[in-house]
Amino acid sequence: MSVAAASPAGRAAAELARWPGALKIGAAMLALIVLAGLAAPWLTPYDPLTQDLVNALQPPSARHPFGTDNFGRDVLTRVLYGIRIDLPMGFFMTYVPLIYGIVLGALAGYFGGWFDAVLMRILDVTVAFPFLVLIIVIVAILGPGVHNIYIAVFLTAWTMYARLARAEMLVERGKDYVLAARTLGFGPWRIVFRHVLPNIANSSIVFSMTDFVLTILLVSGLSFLGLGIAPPEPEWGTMVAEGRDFIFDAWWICTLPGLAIVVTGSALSLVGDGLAQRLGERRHALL
Amino acid sequence: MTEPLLKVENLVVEFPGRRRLVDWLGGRPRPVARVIDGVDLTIDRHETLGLVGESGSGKTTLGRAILRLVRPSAGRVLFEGRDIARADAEGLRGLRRRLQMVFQNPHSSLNPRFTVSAAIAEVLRFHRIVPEGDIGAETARLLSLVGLGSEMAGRYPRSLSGGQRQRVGLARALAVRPSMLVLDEPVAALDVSIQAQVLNLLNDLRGELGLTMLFIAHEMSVVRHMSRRIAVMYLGRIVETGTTDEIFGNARHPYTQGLLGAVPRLEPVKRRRQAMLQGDVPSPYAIPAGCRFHTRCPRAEDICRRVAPPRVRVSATHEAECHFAGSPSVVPA
Repeated sequence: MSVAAASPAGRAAAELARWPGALKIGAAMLALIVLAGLAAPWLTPYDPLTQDLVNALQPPSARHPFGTDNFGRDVLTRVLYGIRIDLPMGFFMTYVPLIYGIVLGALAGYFGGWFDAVLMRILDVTVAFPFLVLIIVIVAILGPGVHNIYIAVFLTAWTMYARLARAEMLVERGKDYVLAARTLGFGPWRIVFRHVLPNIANSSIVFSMTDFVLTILLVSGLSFLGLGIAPPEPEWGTMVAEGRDFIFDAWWICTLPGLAIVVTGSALSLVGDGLAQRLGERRHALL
Repeated sequence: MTEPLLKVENLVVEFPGRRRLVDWLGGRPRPVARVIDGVDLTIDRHETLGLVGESGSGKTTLGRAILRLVRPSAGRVLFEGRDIARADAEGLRGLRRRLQMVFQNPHSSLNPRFTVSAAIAEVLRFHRIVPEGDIGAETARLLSLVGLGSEMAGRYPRSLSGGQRQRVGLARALAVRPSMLVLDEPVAALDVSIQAQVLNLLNDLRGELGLTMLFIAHEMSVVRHMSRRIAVMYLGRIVETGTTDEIFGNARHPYTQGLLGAVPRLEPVKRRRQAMLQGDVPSPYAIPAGCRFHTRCPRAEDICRRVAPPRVRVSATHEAECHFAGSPSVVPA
């Protein structure tokens, strides 16, 4: 029991000291990316959409560290503004389905019966399709656009979390603390939401970091394929697609936004690995 | 004579097994495990009944069926004259305030996310045991009742020892002020030195609070310390019941004798090779015909393989289910 560090600041410092290296580096990278996105208008003098054809296809220089694209727009500016599109989309597309996925899975695991059977069959059908193909089909049916990507992802992305939460619930359900709660007369909703959910959320949260990366890749990928965010919006995938035509003359147009995706993905993966370590060791201490 | 506090009548608990495709094609029925196979049991008010048996005997399931954590397939569980197995939600809630359970594993019986005081306060609040303003004081009273200082209140289970956790579990069960406790091997997972402390605590509480107890254990010595009357369970049935003296001095069922032989003794010279139990408890999917114990019984004869033994009454308090229970002890003690 850490009795020392009673003040909030002291406790935060103590917690930080226990973070594994991957978590520290990943969180720092992620914080920088978020800050850069928020501060984009102050970090760069250019506008992400205004064209300047006189300065088109300039290689990286002091004035344009990432060069300019075929419309003369500053690539660094567009990459920075891209954070404002890709990160929130990845976030909501990961965490909204995470919430109802865990809840549905936990309820199915706890109650079993027809609800479980129906949910699992829906899940089996969803999982039977390759994820990207399924999304593309749904988006193709509904039509391209941000809204329809959201709908497609909300329809499919919860399945992994439901599966995880259900499996963990099946384990927890038989544990003595759940039996004790039943013996004490607590109702099933109180048991599921108050007692078990906090104990089974860890693995989903760790997994969500990987999912976050994949979702950003998905948004970029769909945009690259022309099914997502349409030009001239500074979305990373769209930029890669636009720059593809100039890859031999102006490598920076598609390479540097691609690098932004890689860096963001690495940051999230590091956070995920670090969290897994940190939560894993805590869980170990619990049992 | 007042009626017993708890009366179990012909209780059966079955768990359906997995039906394999071959069975289904062959038209065989789904296999069923009869974990509790017709148990009768009575516990008087303020009495402690010890329930012993090896793992797999069904004693934990019996305890859980009494609390309706598992649903019985047949039979009745009467608590204060009301049938628990058929109680509605309202009746069940009332029952939860009078009949509580202490679990075996102190490492999993507490929610790791709740501090000691939060775990106890939740129970007090849920059942409205005391007014909101008195919850802190009542929590402290419960902690001191189980021998824990108030400095434990803010701790999480991970920073408690096994014995301390078991005391917290006990305090939670006592929070609703029950009249009866089912204790499912409450000390089996603890160090021997701690076992004695917890057993003494239970003994004290029983006198102080006038509790009735069903004390489940797999060790004869623990039960002897706790109860005046003992029921011995084998493969889903109570095979012998009697007072502690009768069971220890004049056991009639070979299984009980085998369990007694398994009581560890300190003196190596006196440690004789008695009718020690060989092998494992058979599967509840395939309970042996005739006497269910015949596959392991040192005394089994032809009749045991064919006819289920009757319940032989040895004395007013002593019964055994064995064809030879009328004759004295099989193996001289």
